[in-house]
Amino acid sequence: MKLKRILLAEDSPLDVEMTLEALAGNGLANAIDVVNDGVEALDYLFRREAFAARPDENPGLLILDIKMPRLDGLQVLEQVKKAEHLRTIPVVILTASRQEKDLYQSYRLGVNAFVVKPVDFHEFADAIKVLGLFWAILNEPPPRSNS
Amino acid sequence: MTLQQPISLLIVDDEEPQLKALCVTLEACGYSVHGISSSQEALVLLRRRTFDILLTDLRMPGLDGLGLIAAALEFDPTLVVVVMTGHGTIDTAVGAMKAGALDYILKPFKLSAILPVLERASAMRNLRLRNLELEMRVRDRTAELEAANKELDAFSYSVSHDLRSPLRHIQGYAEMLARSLDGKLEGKQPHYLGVILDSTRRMGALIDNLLEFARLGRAELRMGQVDMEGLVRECISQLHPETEGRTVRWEVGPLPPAAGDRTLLAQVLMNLLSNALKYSRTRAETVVEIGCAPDKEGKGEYYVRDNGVGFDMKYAGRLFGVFQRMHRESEFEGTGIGLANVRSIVNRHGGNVRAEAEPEKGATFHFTVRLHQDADAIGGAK
Repeated sequence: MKLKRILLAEDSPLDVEMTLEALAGNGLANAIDVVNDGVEALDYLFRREAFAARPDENPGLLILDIKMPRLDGLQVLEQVKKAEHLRTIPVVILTASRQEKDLYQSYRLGVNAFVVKPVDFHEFADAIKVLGLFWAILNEPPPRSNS
Repeated sequence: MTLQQPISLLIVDDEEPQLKALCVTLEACGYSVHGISSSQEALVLLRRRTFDILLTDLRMPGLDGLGLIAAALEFDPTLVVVVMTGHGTIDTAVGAMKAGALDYILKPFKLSAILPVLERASAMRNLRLRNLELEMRVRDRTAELEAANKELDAFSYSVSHDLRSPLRHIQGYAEMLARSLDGKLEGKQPHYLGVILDSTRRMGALIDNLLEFARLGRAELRMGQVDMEGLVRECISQLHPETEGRTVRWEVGPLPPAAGDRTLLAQVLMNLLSNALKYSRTRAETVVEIGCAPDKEGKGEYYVRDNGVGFDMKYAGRLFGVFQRMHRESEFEGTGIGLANVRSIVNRHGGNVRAEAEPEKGATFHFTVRLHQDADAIGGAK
């Protein structure tokens, strides 16, 4: 089976490292592309600027941190769900804190899952693994209508 | 405009001789009087400065009395209006009072008739000014509170997000270090790493508890009828994992329905019931009794009694504080937020909490909540 790529938008290099570490060992780590803020995430998704040469293929999963410089995760989510060719990408908000207004806003914008980063590393690693396994491998995405 | 200053009167009457006589007389009585014969001019003046009392004729050329009253009250809603009207026009006087006038004087009038009316009008003016002042103070306070609430929001966001992140990193990296050193740690090194990991976990729990406590203090109450007996039974079934392998006798007395927020009251019960289980787990048989004694003010005093280890009443004052504990962590686990949450929720419901206990003889926790009054609804709602 061909593994779809996972796009992780996360501004904290420590969180990036921990996420990659959590995914190490089950083959998922190699499938991760990392961007550091919301603007880069949209560049990646819309294949422009530094990502203009990226192959025309949507990631199998988009993991968004909320608090990021320039454009935050909720703004990226909004753009993704508005774009006809991106809206079917499953989006997981992975955030440091459980804020009710963020939860509400995320679901209003059509998020597929909302996960609070657990303080405990084991739990964090488990959460990341489950997300990766479920969305990138188990979940059957909708067929692409325009290809 | 305070009591010390003379009351300022604006008199409007198109009959000049009468106006002049009235001005002179009332000035002699200690009022600060301004007479004007045209209602249009009166309006211009009212727009420029404030008066305490407007004494006006009703039938005037141009803008009539009613129009003047409406316009004047729009400039200053605390202005007190008294109308003067001729014989046989009581109906118009009534109309004026409906338009906002406080009182009326029938023409022709004697000084003895007008003075009590003006005294009453002055008192009313002071009352209205005081009310306005109070309203403004309430408005200021509300704005201050709203600002403080917003700050608290930002604060709790900062605590949850900004404090938790470095903690997660400490925990995560210590964990990764432990993994990469697996089997290579010597002497006290595993212990050192273990303490780092335990402490970060504990701090994570404390931060989460603190946030929850802050959230409860501000949560909006969704009031309704709460079937307390059913709620207790629901809580008991949720506590099943904690009672496994133990002998626990639940004695749930008849409990009247309360008026409150179901979710929050469930949290109160969960806290008290799980405490009762926790502190009685050394007993061969745990007995937890839940009852209620209605008081005279329409409130019910619910209680949860256990036969656990209890505590010394000497320290009861600290019992409901944030992160206050009666027992060592090694004896009974927990951060000490539960009873602080209980008190916060009960206080939000306008009730009180108290506890009685004796070492080794169990503890009883009481909380008062307003009872649901509609007697029909008790049987009828289900």
